[in-house]
Amino acid sequence: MMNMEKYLLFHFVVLLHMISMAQNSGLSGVNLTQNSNRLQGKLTGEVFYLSLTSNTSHFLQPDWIEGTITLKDGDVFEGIRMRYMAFGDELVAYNSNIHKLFIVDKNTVQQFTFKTSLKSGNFAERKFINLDSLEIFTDGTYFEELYSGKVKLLAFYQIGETKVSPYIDSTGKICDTEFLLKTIYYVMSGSKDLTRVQLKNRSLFILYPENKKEIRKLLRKNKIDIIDESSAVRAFDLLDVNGFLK
Amino acid sequence: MGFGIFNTNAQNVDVQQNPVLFTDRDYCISGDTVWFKVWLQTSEKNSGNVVRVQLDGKNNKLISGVAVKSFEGWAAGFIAVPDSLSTGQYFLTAFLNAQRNKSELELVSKSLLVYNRFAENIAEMEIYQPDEILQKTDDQIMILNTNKEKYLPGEKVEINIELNKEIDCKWFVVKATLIDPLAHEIRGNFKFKVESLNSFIPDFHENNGLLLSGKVTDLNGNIPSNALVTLSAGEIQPFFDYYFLGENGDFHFFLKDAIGNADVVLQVVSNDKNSYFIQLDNNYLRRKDLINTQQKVLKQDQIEFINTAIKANFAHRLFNPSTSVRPEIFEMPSRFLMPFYGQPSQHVVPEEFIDLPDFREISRELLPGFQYRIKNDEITFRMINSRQKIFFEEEPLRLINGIPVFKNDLFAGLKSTDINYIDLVLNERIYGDLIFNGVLEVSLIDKSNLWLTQQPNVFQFNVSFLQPNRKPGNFIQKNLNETQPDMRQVYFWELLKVESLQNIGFYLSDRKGKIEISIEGFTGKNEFFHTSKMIEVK
Repeated sequence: MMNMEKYLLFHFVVLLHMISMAQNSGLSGVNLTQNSNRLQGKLTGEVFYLSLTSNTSHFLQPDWIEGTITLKDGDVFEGIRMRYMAFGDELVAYNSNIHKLFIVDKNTVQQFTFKTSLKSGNFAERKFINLDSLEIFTDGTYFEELYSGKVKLLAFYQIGETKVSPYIDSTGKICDTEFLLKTIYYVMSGSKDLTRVQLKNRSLFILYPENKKEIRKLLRKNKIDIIDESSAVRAFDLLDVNGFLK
Repeated sequence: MGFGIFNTNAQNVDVQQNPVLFTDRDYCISGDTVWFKVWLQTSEKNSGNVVRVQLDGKNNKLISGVAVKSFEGWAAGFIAVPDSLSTGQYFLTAFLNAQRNKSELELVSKSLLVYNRFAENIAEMEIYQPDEILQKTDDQIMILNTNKEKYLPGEKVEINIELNKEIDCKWFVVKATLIDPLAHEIRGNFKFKVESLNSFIPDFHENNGLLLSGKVTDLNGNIPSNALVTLSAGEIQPFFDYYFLGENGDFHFFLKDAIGNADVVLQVVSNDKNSYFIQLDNNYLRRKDLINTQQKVLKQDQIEFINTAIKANFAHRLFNPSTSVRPEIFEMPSRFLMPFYGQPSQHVVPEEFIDLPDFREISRELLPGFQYRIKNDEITFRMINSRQKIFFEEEPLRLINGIPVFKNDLFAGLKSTDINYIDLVLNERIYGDLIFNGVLEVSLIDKSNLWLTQQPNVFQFNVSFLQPNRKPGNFIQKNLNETQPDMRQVYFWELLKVESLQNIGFYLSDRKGKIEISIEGFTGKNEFFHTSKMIEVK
């Protein structure tokens, strides 16, 4: 029995030593395999830990979706499970090899895209661009590109925490804040000027006052009344084709 | 070479599939530089835009190999023929890495006769004489005229080209060179079946970068299991990558936009205490079959030409001592506007503070969130996780000049005056499938990395990456001093568009003999053509 205890103790110590050596390297990669190798490059970021609150309130999408990330150097990563965290304006991706979520380094990302299913059963591709990649050098912001032509129609999704009357949340906790999604629309001109707009016909009249009459006539003729993103995209497309956008 | 004769139909098949190699000469003296151009017929996007050109001997021994990036379908570069290379016949071959694992790969090679510059009276040589040499016929795409047929040394040759306007020609390689009677006799292109020397090198499409491959073994030649290799390169903004070893102990790295020569540091990281060796693989192809050479007795005019060429080379070196192309400085732009380990939470420049005598003092005074501990004579580092406001249980990734360090006592003696800057990343980082529990990067003022000798399983190699864009300058008659000899053998070597084909001219050197002016290229339908004319210098 004593010999067995000594035998077990010896191997336990050896095992501890091996684990500690792996830790001392500073490189931790529990499940490294040949799949960990990618010659063109690797995605980098900060490890992200999901909480109940962040999972339910911080993201634009309700669930993880598969999409494509394009980096500023042209490297493309397909089949990445991701969600856009509108609370904080970050892209969170899932590394399935090591089962970790991480915030993709924003200053490496040019754009990301994913498909969403429509009521008709078809899929629509949604494209988010990093403003840095349009050579508008802020500290980096993700905008959804709703329309791209001579001008771009962009949407910025922002989830903010606001004070409300106290209530009991789904976990039974008393809360006095809520997370609310706000969408702000912008038009980016060819000279990279950003102008905030609302999804209304009137916004186009303000943007292009010199062609106000013609634009109004064109929209009426084509029965387009801007009330949402879909009608806004159709309106911009129509104006682009007819040479009104600049 | 380049004025070998081709069967146009055979060449069209090759043109569709393989890079087409043009060289400025088919003979040289050891120590010379051979310039080449390569036409990539296949779509660059499909197969990569980096061409590899190798020089090898008849026994498949690799003499030299370079990689050049193409632009608009054309790549250009040079191979320095070693000064000590012995007299013999060698072969130049161009290929794409994407081709390497094709089961039946045939490539066209160009013969290069090398005469060792210390040789005297070369009277015979081993020459490869296959049953069939690819021969080409003069096409009627253009007519070459010169102002004379016979010239004196140093005179100017003016070329007039009459182009068949029905043919749509895009690019022309125009060459004027002194003929070596021996090289001219055996002229032609040689088709060989080739295979990858190292089957573990993947047929990766090299676009704007270079694949670097190698193998890891222990002292007994065994392959380690569950080990990875890290690569560090570059000084200003270090590059880092890792590769989890394949079942054959092989590793591969792709360095995008890496140009010139650089010292790269490769390390084997594993959980055992074994010593390992790293060997870099030469990325080249070898002929599947041995070639049969025959001893050829040279004719008198061939012997005399070779003797004259060696003497001319000596004279040229005497008056032009610095004509060799020097190794290039390394350039590799960083992929992004931040280090590979992430945006630092703290960037500390010790020079801005009072001088501190060792790293323990530096960490105590200048690095909040970083702990330097000594316990039982062992130094350990701990870093705070800024998100979770607790210390990481494991040690951070430690770097010196961007190179991972696994022995903490290498930091102990570093003082303020040794250090350029210190970066701390106080969060948990992901790099591919690697996780860093914080990062400590110490950039030293001294980039020689002598401290590497104290780390096990670390190796430094000088690697040649993409060859920088250089143009040969020695063809131009720049020495107009009549007391110094002009010993050039190549007078003109340019890739020209059709609008530049007017008024081509060049000055002859002091050397006498026959000169061939040739124009080769591709039509708009990507059909190869060749036209040449001989003149004489007496």
